[in-house]
Amino acid sequence: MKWWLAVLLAAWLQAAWLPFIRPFDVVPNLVLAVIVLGTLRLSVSAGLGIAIVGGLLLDLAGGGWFGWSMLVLTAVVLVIGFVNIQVGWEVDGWWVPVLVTVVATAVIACGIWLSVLAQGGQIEWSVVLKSLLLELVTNIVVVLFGRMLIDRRWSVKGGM
Amino acid sequence: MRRGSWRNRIVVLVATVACIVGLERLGALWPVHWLWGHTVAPIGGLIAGGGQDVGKTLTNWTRIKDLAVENSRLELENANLRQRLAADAETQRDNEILRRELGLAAASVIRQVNAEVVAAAPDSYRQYVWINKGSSENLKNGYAVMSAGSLIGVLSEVQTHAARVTLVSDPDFRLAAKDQDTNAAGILIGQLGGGLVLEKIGQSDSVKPGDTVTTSGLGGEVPAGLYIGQIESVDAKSDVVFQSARLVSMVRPRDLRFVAVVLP
Repeated sequence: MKWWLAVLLAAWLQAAWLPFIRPFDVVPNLVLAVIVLGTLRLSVSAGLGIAIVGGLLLDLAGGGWFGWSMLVLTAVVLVIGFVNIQVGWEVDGWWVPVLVTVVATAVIACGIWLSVLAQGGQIEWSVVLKSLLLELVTNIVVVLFGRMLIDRRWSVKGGM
Repeated sequence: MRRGSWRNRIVVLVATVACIVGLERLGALWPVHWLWGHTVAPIGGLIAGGGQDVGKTLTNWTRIKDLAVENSRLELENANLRQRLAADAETQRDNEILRRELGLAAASVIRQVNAEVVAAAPDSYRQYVWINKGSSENLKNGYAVMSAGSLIGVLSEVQTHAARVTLVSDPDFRLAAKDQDTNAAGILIGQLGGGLVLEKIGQSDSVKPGDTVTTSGLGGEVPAGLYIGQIESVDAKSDVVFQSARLVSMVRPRDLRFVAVVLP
Protein backbone atom coordinates (compact mmCIF):
# COMPACT_ATOMS: atom_id res chain seq x y z
CA MET A 1 0.00 0.00 0.00
CA LYS A 2 2.86 2.35 0.89
CA TRP A 3 4.33 1.97 -2.58
CA TRP A 4 1.02 2.65 -4.34
CA LEU A 5 0.62 5.83 -2.32
CA ALA A 6 4.25 6.71 -2.97
CA VAL A 7 3.87 6.43 -6.76
CA LEU A 8 0.62 8.44 -6.74
CA LEU A 9 2.24 11.15 -4.63
CA ALA A 10 5.36 11.11 -6.79
CA ALA A 11 3.32 11.51 -10.00
CA TRP A 12 1.31 14.33 -8.51
CA LEU A 13 4.35 16.19 -7.20
CA GLN A 14 6.09 15.67 -10.53
CA ALA A 15 3.20 17.29 -12.42
CA ALA A 16 2.00 19.95 -9.97
CA TRP A 17 5.01 20.97 -7.88
CA LEU A 18 8.43 20.18 -9.30
CA PRO A 19 7.88 21.89 -12.71
CA PHE A 20 7.54 25.16 -10.78
CA ILE A 21 10.73 24.63 -8.78
CA ARG A 22 12.87 23.00 -11.49
CA PRO A 23 16.10 22.48 -9.53
CA PHE A 24 19.01 23.13 -11.95
CA ASP A 25 16.26 23.90 -14.51
CA VAL A 26 15.17 20.26 -14.83
CA VAL A 27 12.27 18.20 -13.46
CA PRO A 28 13.55 15.20 -11.46
CA ASN A 29 11.73 11.95 -12.27
CA LEU A 30 10.29 10.96 -8.88
CA VAL A 31 8.06 8.28 -10.39
CA LEU A 32 11.08 6.54 -11.90
CA ALA A 33 12.85 6.63 -8.53
CA VAL A 34 9.83 5.10 -6.74
CA ILE A 35 9.53 2.34 -9.34
CA VAL A 36 13.23 1.46 -9.29
CA LEU A 37 13.39 1.38 -5.49
CA GLY A 38 10.03 -0.42 -5.19
CA THR A 39 11.05 -3.15 -7.61
CA LEU A 40 14.34 -3.69 -5.82
CA ARG A 41 12.55 -3.93 -2.47
CA LEU A 42 9.43 -5.85 -3.49
CA SER A 43 8.81 -8.32 -6.28
CA VAL A 44 8.87 -7.90 -10.05
CA SER A 45 5.07 -8.42 -10.17
CA ALA A 46 4.48 -5.67 -7.63
CA GLY A 47 6.94 -3.45 -9.47
CA LEU A 48 5.05 -3.99 -12.74
CA GLY A 49 1.79 -2.86 -11.15
CA ILE A 50 3.40 0.28 -9.79
CA ALA A 51 5.11 0.96 -13.13
CA ILE A 52 1.86 0.69 -15.12
CA VAL A 53 0.04 3.08 -12.75
CA GLY A 54 3.00 5.52 -12.54
CA GLY A 55 3.56 5.40 -16.31
CA LEU A 56 -0.14 5.94 -17.02
CA LEU A 57 -0.18 9.00 -14.77
CA LEU A 58 2.90 10.46 -16.47
CA ASP A 59 1.40 9.76 -19.90
CA LEU A 60 -1.84 11.47 -18.88
CA ALA A 61 0.04 14.53 -17.70
CA GLY A 62 2.62 14.34 -20.51
CA GLY A 63 2.47 15.46 -24.10
CA GLY A 64 4.57 12.97 -26.05
CA TRP A 65 3.61 9.51 -27.32
CA PHE A 66 0.86 8.19 -25.07
CA GLY A 67 2.06 4.91 -23.54
CA TRP A 68 5.79 5.67 -23.87
CA SER A 69 6.37 6.32 -20.16
CA MET A 70 4.36 3.23 -19.27
CA LEU A 71 6.36 1.09 -21.68
CA VAL A 72 9.77 2.35 -20.51
CA LEU A 73 8.94 2.14 -16.81
CA THR A 74 7.57 -1.40 -17.08
CA ALA A 75 10.61 -2.35 -19.18
CA VAL A 76 12.78 -1.00 -16.34
CA VAL A 77 11.05 -3.37 -13.92
CA LEU A 78 11.48 -6.33 -16.28
CA VAL A 79 15.18 -5.57 -16.75
CA ILE A 80 15.70 -5.41 -12.99
CA GLY A 81 13.84 -8.70 -12.55
CA PHE A 82 15.71 -10.35 -15.40
CA VAL A 83 19.11 -9.26 -14.13
CA ASN A 84 18.24 -10.35 -10.60
CA ILE A 85 16.77 -13.76 -11.39
CA GLN A 86 18.23 -14.86 -14.70
CA VAL A 87 21.71 -13.39 -14.55
CA GLY A 88 22.01 -13.54 -10.78
CA TRP A 89 23.75 -10.21 -10.28
CA GLU A 90 23.85 -8.81 -6.79
CA VAL A 91 21.08 -6.18 -6.70
CA ASP A 92 21.72 -4.80 -3.24
CA GLY A 93 24.61 -2.55 -4.24
CA TRP A 94 24.11 1.21 -4.56
CA TRP A 95 25.21 1.11 -8.16
CA VAL A 96 22.22 -0.99 -9.28
CA PRO A 97 19.51 1.68 -8.83
CA VAL A 98 21.97 4.29 -10.15
CA LEU A 99 22.71 2.32 -13.32
CA VAL A 100 19.03 1.54 -13.93
CA THR A 101 18.08 5.18 -13.33
CA VAL A 102 20.73 6.46 -15.74
CA VAL A 103 19.65 4.11 -18.54
CA ALA A 104 15.91 4.72 -17.95
CA THR A 105 16.36 8.51 -17.81
CA ALA A 106 18.25 8.49 -21.11
CA VAL A 107 15.68 6.20 -22.79
CA ILE A 108 12.71 8.32 -21.61
CA ALA A 109 14.44 11.50 -22.85
CA CYS A 110 15.25 9.88 -26.21
CA GLY A 111 11.57 8.90 -26.53
CA ILE A 112 10.50 12.51 -26.02
CA TRP A 113 13.08 13.75 -28.55
CA LEU A 114 12.04 11.11 -31.11
CA SER A 115 8.36 11.96 -30.69
CA VAL A 116 9.20 15.60 -31.42
CA LEU A 117 11.34 14.73 -34.48
CA ALA A 118 8.67 12.32 -35.77
CA GLN A 119 6.13 15.14 -35.74
CA GLY A 120 8.48 17.44 -37.64
CA GLY A 121 9.48 19.48 -34.59
CA GLN A 122 12.79 21.23 -34.01
CA ILE A 123 15.29 20.60 -31.23
CA GLU A 124 17.92 22.89 -29.72
CA TRP A 125 20.45 20.13 -29.17
CA SER A 126 22.86 22.11 -26.99
CA VAL A 127 20.06 22.92 -24.54
CA VAL A 128 18.44 19.48 -24.40
CA LEU A 129 21.76 17.63 -24.02
CA LYS A 130 22.69 19.90 -21.12
CA SER A 131 19.24 19.26 -19.62
CA LEU A 132 19.75 15.50 -19.97
CA LEU A 133 23.07 15.66 -18.09
CA LEU A 134 21.55 17.72 -15.29
CA GLU A 135 18.51 15.43 -15.18
CA LEU A 136 20.76 12.39 -14.85
CA VAL A 137 22.51 13.98 -11.87
CA THR A 138 19.28 15.01 -10.11
CA ASN A 139 17.64 11.62 -10.71
CA ILE A 140 20.69 9.84 -9.30
CA VAL A 141 20.59 12.08 -6.22
CA VAL A 142 16.84 11.42 -5.78
CA VAL A 143 17.18 7.65 -6.09
CA LEU A 144 20.17 7.47 -3.72
CA PHE A 145 18.36 9.69 -1.21
CA GLY A 146 15.27 7.48 -1.46
CA ARG A 147 17.37 4.36 -0.96
CA MET A 148 18.97 5.88 2.11
CA LEU A 149 15.53 6.78 3.54
CA ILE A 150 14.22 3.29 2.96
CA ASP A 151 17.27 1.65 4.50
CA ARG A 152 17.19 3.83 7.60
CA ARG A 153 13.52 4.47 8.33
CA TRP A 154 10.98 2.44 6.47
CA SER A 155 12.63 -1.02 6.53
CA VAL A 156 9.89 -2.41 4.33
CA LYS A 157 9.92 -6.18 4.39
CA GLY A 158 6.41 -7.27 3.58
CA GLY A 159 4.28 -6.87 0.51
CA MET A 160 2.41 -3.81 -0.53
CA MET B 1 12.25 -18.30 -13.14
CA ARG B 2 11.89 -20.17 -16.41
CA ARG B 3 12.49 -18.51 -19.79
CA GLY B 4 8.92 -19.28 -20.92
CA SER B 5 7.50 -17.47 -17.90
CA TRP B 6 9.49 -14.33 -18.78
CA ARG B 7 8.33 -14.49 -22.36
CA ASN B 8 4.70 -14.74 -21.20
CA ARG B 9 5.19 -11.87 -18.82
CA ILE B 10 6.63 -9.63 -21.54
CA VAL B 11 3.81 -10.56 -23.93
CA VAL B 12 1.15 -9.80 -21.30
CA LEU B 13 2.88 -6.54 -20.47
CA VAL B 14 3.14 -5.34 -24.06
CA ALA B 15 -0.49 -6.38 -24.63
CA THR B 16 -1.58 -4.42 -21.52
CA VAL B 17 0.25 -1.27 -22.64
CA ALA B 18 -1.09 -1.69 -26.20
CA CYS B 19 -4.63 -2.11 -24.80
CA ILE B 20 -4.33 1.08 -22.74
CA VAL B 21 -2.93 3.02 -25.71
CA GLY B 22 -5.71 1.62 -27.93
CA LEU B 23 -8.38 2.60 -25.40
CA GLU B 24 -6.91 6.10 -25.30
CA ARG B 25 -7.06 6.33 -29.12
CA LEU B 26 -10.72 5.26 -29.01
CA GLY B 27 -11.45 7.82 -26.34
CA ALA B 28 -12.46 5.12 -23.86
CA LEU B 29 -10.11 6.40 -21.16
CA TRP B 30 -12.36 9.37 -20.48
CA PRO B 31 -13.04 8.27 -16.85
CA VAL B 32 -9.29 8.42 -16.17
CA HIS B 33 -9.07 11.84 -17.83
CA TRP B 34 -12.14 12.92 -15.86
CA LEU B 35 -10.50 11.77 -12.62
CA TRP B 36 -7.26 13.56 -13.57
CA GLY B 37 -9.14 16.76 -14.38
CA HIS B 38 -11.18 16.62 -11.18
CA THR B 39 -8.27 15.88 -8.84
CA VAL B 40 -5.48 17.97 -10.33
CA ALA B 41 -7.56 21.04 -11.15
CA PRO B 42 -9.16 21.74 -7.74
CA ILE B 43 -6.22 20.92 -5.49
CA GLY B 44 -3.33 21.28 -7.92
CA GLY B 45 -3.48 25.07 -7.75
CA LEU B 46 -2.49 25.02 -4.08
CA ILE B 47 0.46 22.71 -4.68
CA ALA B 48 1.53 24.54 -7.83
CA GLY B 49 1.33 27.85 -5.95
CA GLY B 50 3.55 26.48 -3.18
CA GLY B 51 6.01 25.18 -5.78
CA GLN B 52 6.11 28.55 -7.52
CA ASP B 53 6.83 30.34 -4.23
CA VAL B 54 9.67 27.95 -3.41
CA GLY B 55 10.96 28.16 -6.99
CA LYS B 56 11.00 31.94 -6.95
CA THR B 57 12.82 32.02 -3.60
CA LEU B 58 15.46 29.59 -4.88
CA THR B 59 15.82 31.57 -8.11
CA ASN B 60 16.27 34.78 -6.17
CA TRP B 61 19.00 33.22 -4.04
CA THR B 62 20.90 31.89 -7.03
CA ARG B 63 20.48 35.05 -9.12
CA ILE B 64 20.94 37.66 -6.40
CA LYS B 65 23.93 39.22 -8.22
CA ASP B 66 21.96 39.65 -11.44
CA LEU B 67 18.91 41.14 -9.74
CA ALA B 68 20.36 44.64 -9.36
CA VAL B 69 21.29 44.79 -13.06
CA GLU B 70 17.91 43.37 -14.06
CA ASN B 71 16.17 45.88 -11.80
CA SER B 72 17.93 48.80 -13.52
CA ARG B 73 17.04 47.41 -16.93
CA LEU B 74 13.39 46.97 -15.92
CA GLU B 75 13.21 50.50 -14.50
CA LEU B 76 14.43 51.89 -17.81
CA GLU B 77 12.02 49.68 -19.73
CA ASN B 78 9.20 50.74 -17.42
CA ALA B 79 9.92 54.43 -18.07
CA ASN B 80 9.94 53.83 -21.84
CA LEU B 81 6.70 51.89 -21.64
CA ARG B 82 5.02 54.65 -19.59
CA GLN B 83 5.97 57.12 -22.29
CA ARG B 84 4.67 54.78 -25.02
CA LEU B 85 1.44 54.17 -23.04
CA ALA B 86 0.78 57.91 -22.89
CA ALA B 87 1.33 58.18 -26.65
CA ASP B 88 -0.93 55.17 -27.24
CA ALA B 89 -3.70 56.71 -25.12
CA GLU B 90 -3.53 59.81 -27.30
CA THR B 91 -3.68 57.67 -30.46
CA GLN B 92 -6.62 55.71 -29.08
CA ARG B 93 -8.52 58.92 -28.35
CA ASP B 94 -7.87 60.19 -31.91
CA ASN B 95 -8.96 56.79 -33.25
CA GLU B 96 -12.26 56.94 -31.33
CA ILE B 97 -12.95 60.48 -32.59
CA LEU B 98 -12.23 59.48 -36.20
CA ARG B 99 -14.38 56.33 -35.91
CA ARG B 100 -17.25 58.41 -34.54
CA GLU B 101 -16.94 60.98 -37.31
CA LEU B 102 -16.72 58.31 -40.04
CA GLY B 103 -19.62 56.34 -38.53
CA LEU B 104 -17.54 53.16 -38.01
CA ALA B 105 -18.36 50.59 -35.33
CA ALA B 106 -16.29 50.75 -32.19
CA ALA B 107 -13.20 48.51 -32.14
CA SER B 108 -13.93 45.16 -30.45
CA VAL B 109 -12.84 44.69 -26.88
CA ILE B 110 -10.96 41.50 -26.04
CA ARG B 111 -13.10 39.13 -23.94
CA GLN B 112 -11.18 36.79 -21.70
CA VAL B 113 -11.56 34.07 -19.06
CA ASN B 114 -9.09 34.15 -16.19
CA ALA B 115 -7.61 30.85 -15.00
CA GLU B 116 -5.01 29.46 -12.62
CA VAL B 117 -2.12 27.19 -13.60
CA VAL B 118 -2.45 23.90 -11.71
CA ALA B 119 0.13 21.60 -13.29
CA ALA B 120 2.87 21.54 -15.89
CA ALA B 121 4.76 19.11 -18.11
CA PRO B 122 6.22 16.42 -15.81
CA ASP B 123 9.51 16.29 -17.71
CA SER B 124 12.42 18.64 -18.42
CA TYR B 125 11.72 19.14 -22.12
CA ARG B 126 8.09 19.75 -23.07
CA GLN B 127 6.58 23.19 -22.54
CA TYR B 128 2.94 23.18 -21.52
CA VAL B 129 0.80 23.82 -18.47
CA TRP B 130 -2.65 22.77 -17.25
CA ILE B 131 -5.19 25.38 -16.19
CA ASN B 132 -8.28 25.00 -13.98
CA LYS B 133 -10.86 26.10 -16.57
CA GLY B 134 -12.30 24.02 -19.39
CA SER B 135 -15.30 23.47 -21.63
CA SER B 136 -17.64 24.39 -18.76
CA GLU B 137 -16.40 27.97 -19.34
CA ASN B 138 -16.94 27.63 -23.11
CA LEU B 139 -13.23 27.22 -23.80
CA LYS B 140 -12.23 25.39 -26.98
CA ASN B 141 -9.08 24.07 -28.64
CA GLY B 142 -7.00 26.75 -30.34
CA TYR B 143 -7.96 29.66 -28.10
CA ALA B 144 -5.09 32.02 -27.28
CA VAL B 145 -3.73 32.23 -23.72
CA MET B 146 -2.08 35.39 -22.40
CA SER B 147 -0.03 36.26 -19.34
CA ALA B 148 1.48 39.61 -18.39
CA GLY B 149 0.45 41.10 -21.73
CA SER B 150 2.13 38.44 -23.90
CA LEU B 151 0.76 35.48 -25.80
CA ILE B 152 2.05 32.41 -23.93
CA GLY B 153 0.34 29.64 -25.89
CA VAL B 154 -2.88 28.14 -27.17
CA LEU B 155 -5.31 25.58 -25.74
CA SER B 156 -4.47 22.15 -27.12
CA GLU B 157 -6.72 19.87 -25.04
CA VAL B 158 -9.91 20.96 -23.31
CA GLN B 159 -11.64 18.90 -20.63
CA THR B 160 -14.68 19.89 -18.59
CA HIS B 161 -12.84 21.64 -15.76
CA ALA B 162 -9.24 21.67 -17.02
CA ALA B 163 -7.36 22.47 -20.20
CA ARG B 164 -3.85 22.02 -21.49
CA VAL B 165 -1.99 25.06 -22.81
CA THR B 166 0.76 24.32 -25.32
CA LEU B 167 3.25 27.11 -24.74
CA VAL B 168 4.82 29.08 -27.59
CA SER B 169 8.20 27.49 -26.81
CA ASP B 170 6.92 23.91 -27.22
CA PRO B 171 7.91 22.10 -30.45
CA ASP B 172 4.22 21.36 -31.18
CA PHE B 173 3.43 25.08 -31.32
CA ARG B 174 2.67 26.57 -34.75
CA LEU B 175 1.00 29.93 -35.34
CA ALA B 176 0.79 32.59 -38.03
CA ALA B 177 2.59 35.72 -36.85
CA LYS B 178 3.99 38.94 -38.27
CA ASP B 179 6.59 41.59 -37.68
CA GLN B 180 4.48 44.48 -36.40
CA ASP B 181 6.98 47.08 -37.58
CA THR B 182 7.33 45.90 -41.20
CA ASN B 183 4.26 43.63 -41.61
CA ALA B 184 6.51 40.74 -42.71
CA ALA B 185 4.53 37.53 -42.17
CA GLY B 186 5.83 34.14 -41.04
CA ILE B 187 5.08 31.02 -39.06
CA LEU B 188 6.00 30.99 -35.39
CA ILE B 189 7.50 27.68 -34.29
CA GLY B 190 8.61 26.50 -30.84
CA GLN B 191 11.73 24.39 -30.36
CA LEU B 192 12.46 21.62 -27.87
CA GLY B 193 14.78 23.41 -25.46
CA GLY B 194 12.67 26.56 -25.18
CA GLY B 195 13.64 28.37 -28.38
CA LEU B 196 11.19 30.39 -30.48
CA VAL B 197 11.65 30.97 -34.23
CA LEU B 198 9.70 32.93 -36.84
CA GLU B 199 10.09 30.97 -40.07
CA LYS B 200 8.95 31.21 -43.69
CA ILE B 201 9.63 34.95 -43.92
CA GLY B 202 9.96 35.97 -47.55
CA GLN B 203 13.47 37.01 -48.71
CA SER B 204 12.14 40.37 -49.87
CA ASP B 205 10.58 41.11 -46.46
CA SER B 206 12.43 43.28 -44.02
CA VAL B 207 12.99 42.04 -40.46
CA LYS B 208 15.60 43.23 -38.00
CA PRO B 209 16.60 42.62 -34.39
CA GLY B 210 14.43 44.55 -31.94
CA ASP B 211 11.26 44.38 -34.07
CA THR B 212 8.05 43.43 -32.28
CA VAL B 213 6.29 40.22 -33.32
CA THR B 214 2.52 39.82 -32.91
CA THR B 215 -0.14 37.36 -33.99
CA SER B 216 -1.38 37.94 -37.54
CA GLY B 217 -4.88 36.56 -36.93
CA LEU B 218 -4.71 34.34 -40.04
CA GLY B 219 -6.52 31.04 -39.48
CA GLY B 220 -7.54 29.50 -36.19
CA GLU B 221 -9.09 31.17 -33.18
CA VAL B 222 -6.26 33.54 -32.24
CA PRO B 223 -7.08 37.22 -32.88
CA ALA B 224 -4.59 39.55 -34.56
CA GLY B 225 -2.32 41.93 -32.68
CA LEU B 226 -1.43 39.87 -29.59
CA TYR B 227 2.14 40.58 -28.47
CA ILE B 228 4.48 37.57 -28.70
CA GLY B 229 8.04 38.82 -28.32
CA GLN B 230 10.89 40.66 -29.97
CA ILE B 231 13.32 39.57 -32.65
CA GLU B 232 16.76 38.74 -31.27
CA SER B 233 18.58 37.75 -34.45
CA VAL B 234 17.84 37.17 -38.14
CA ASP B 235 19.12 34.27 -40.22
CA ALA B 236 19.03 35.45 -43.84
CA LYS B 237 20.95 33.49 -46.47
CA SER B 238 20.86 34.40 -50.14
CA ASP B 239 20.67 30.77 -51.34
CA VAL B 240 17.45 29.86 -49.52
CA VAL B 241 13.86 30.85 -50.30
CA PHE B 242 12.93 32.02 -46.83
CA GLN B 243 14.66 33.78 -43.98
CA SER B 244 14.03 33.09 -40.30
CA ALA B 245 14.29 35.09 -37.11
CA ARG B 246 14.97 34.03 -33.56
CA LEU B 247 12.70 35.59 -30.91
CA VAL B 248 13.15 36.48 -27.28
CA SER B 249 10.14 35.17 -25.43
CA MET B 250 9.08 36.27 -21.97
CA VAL B 251 7.48 32.89 -21.25
CA ARG B 252 8.89 31.11 -18.23
CA PRO B 253 6.65 28.12 -17.46
CA ARG B 254 7.66 27.97 -13.82
CA ASP B 255 6.64 31.61 -13.26
CA LEU B 256 3.16 31.20 -14.74
CA ARG B 257 0.43 31.27 -12.13
CA PHE B 258 -2.53 33.27 -13.45
CA VAL B 259 -3.35 33.40 -17.14
CA ALA B 260 -6.15 34.73 -19.35
CA VAL B 261 -7.78 32.76 -22.15
CA VAL B 262 -8.78 35.08 -25.01
CA LEU B 263 -12.23 34.36 -26.46
CA PRO B 264 -12.50 35.04 -30.22
